[in-house]
Amino acid sequence: MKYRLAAMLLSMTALSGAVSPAWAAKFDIDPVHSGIAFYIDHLGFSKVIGVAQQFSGTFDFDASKPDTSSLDVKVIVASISTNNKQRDDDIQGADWFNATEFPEITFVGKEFKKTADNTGQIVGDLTIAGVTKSTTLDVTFNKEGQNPWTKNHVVGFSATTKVKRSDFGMKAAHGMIGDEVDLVIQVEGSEHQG
Amino acid sequence: MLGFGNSPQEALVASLLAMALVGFFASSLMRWRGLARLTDLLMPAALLAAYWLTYNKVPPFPPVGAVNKAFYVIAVGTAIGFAAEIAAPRAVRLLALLQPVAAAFYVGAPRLGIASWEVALAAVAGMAVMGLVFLRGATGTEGDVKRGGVIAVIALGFAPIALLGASSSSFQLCLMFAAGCFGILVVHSLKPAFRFGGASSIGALGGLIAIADTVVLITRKADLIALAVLALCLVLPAFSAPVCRTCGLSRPFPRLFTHVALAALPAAAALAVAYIYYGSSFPI
Repeated sequence: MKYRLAAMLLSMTALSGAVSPAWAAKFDIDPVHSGIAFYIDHLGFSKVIGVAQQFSGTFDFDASKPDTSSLDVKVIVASISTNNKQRDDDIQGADWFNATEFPEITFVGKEFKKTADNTGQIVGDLTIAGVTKSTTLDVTFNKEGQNPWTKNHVVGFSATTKVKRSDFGMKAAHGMIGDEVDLVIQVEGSEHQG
Repeated sequence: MLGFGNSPQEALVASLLAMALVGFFASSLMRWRGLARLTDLLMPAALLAAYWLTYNKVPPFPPVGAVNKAFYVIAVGTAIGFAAEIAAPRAVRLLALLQPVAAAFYVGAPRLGIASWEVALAAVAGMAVMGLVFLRGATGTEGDVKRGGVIAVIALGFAPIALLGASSSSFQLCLMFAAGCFGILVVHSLKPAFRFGGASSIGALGGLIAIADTVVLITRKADLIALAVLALCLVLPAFSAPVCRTCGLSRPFPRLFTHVALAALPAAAALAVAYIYYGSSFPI
């Protein structure tokens, strides 16, 4: 009887993880398991890949009511790397991201729409180099559940969007370096503790 | 063969040629029509054209960020300088001396409180540059052509410093401005009839100082040793008169050439210092 009860409890615990419990919660972006990358055309030959190495943010999410979500993300401009020191120095300068005057890139979600079972859109204000533009992220909901290692309540998304750097006043090297920038974002949020 | 834009280098060379040719024709036209006073507007116009060619934009107003502010420093400086030249000529020198202070504090505003001394130092350095170029030396058309020549050389010398200072746009802008200046001034090299007044000093030289402020205060990667060597561009031309007397050069063109060549020596030395300092990583 004792063994049967234990087996039943174990199976219930396993089942609860599998069905991905969902409740309204505030999440902190886990930088270890999240990433922000961008791709920009170089003379039509290739796309240079850049990454933001330091970023933070929080979001509110309830899978049953995604339209009530919130999102607030900050990226440290000085942490942006394209794997080339000369170019990284250049993009920190006043012609590009202007890290001295505008040390952070921010995105604040304003409107959250579900478009299919596991996809949606977030319309928000993206601020780069002091210029704010409305930007739409195409989001895929990956999974919500308990991290088996930390036991934290975790939710994960993938998102993409395209922005034009010229919209944010970055018009240097036009013709050599593409105007359109592809952004690819992976976010894992861990439920806010305390 | 030059493809006029088939490569970034060709596009830059084409832009330099265009700036020099437009400067030459505009300057020739004004000279032919006897519009000596309006020649004061040529150098700031060249700087604004170089800005537009480099950034492909007229920045929105009010400007956001140092690069956009620099455009309005040039435009407003030109308007104030030209208006003062007509309405209050005696105020031009004072305004010219105040411009670098205003530019340093306007462009360097985000650094105030964090590194205010850097902004103050940039203001003092800008005032020194303005004083040495605009307030010193002989008056008259030949002196004005010499002033324009020194500014073109400073722009030429500052271009590689800007490139090493992580501002490839300022590099292009300075080269294009220098090309435009040489196109403008070559018309006046034999028989000068050029005016370097309020617009040229406050708009063009003041604008160039604002661009330098952007690289030094905001991008903050300028090589200070190369900048110090470049500053000798302002000192060496003082020896052009004795050199010309010693060599028996009395016509305007050899005197002008000597003056600009003496200014060019430190610019070349600044480039050499930068090259030696950065070695194989020099991005040319």
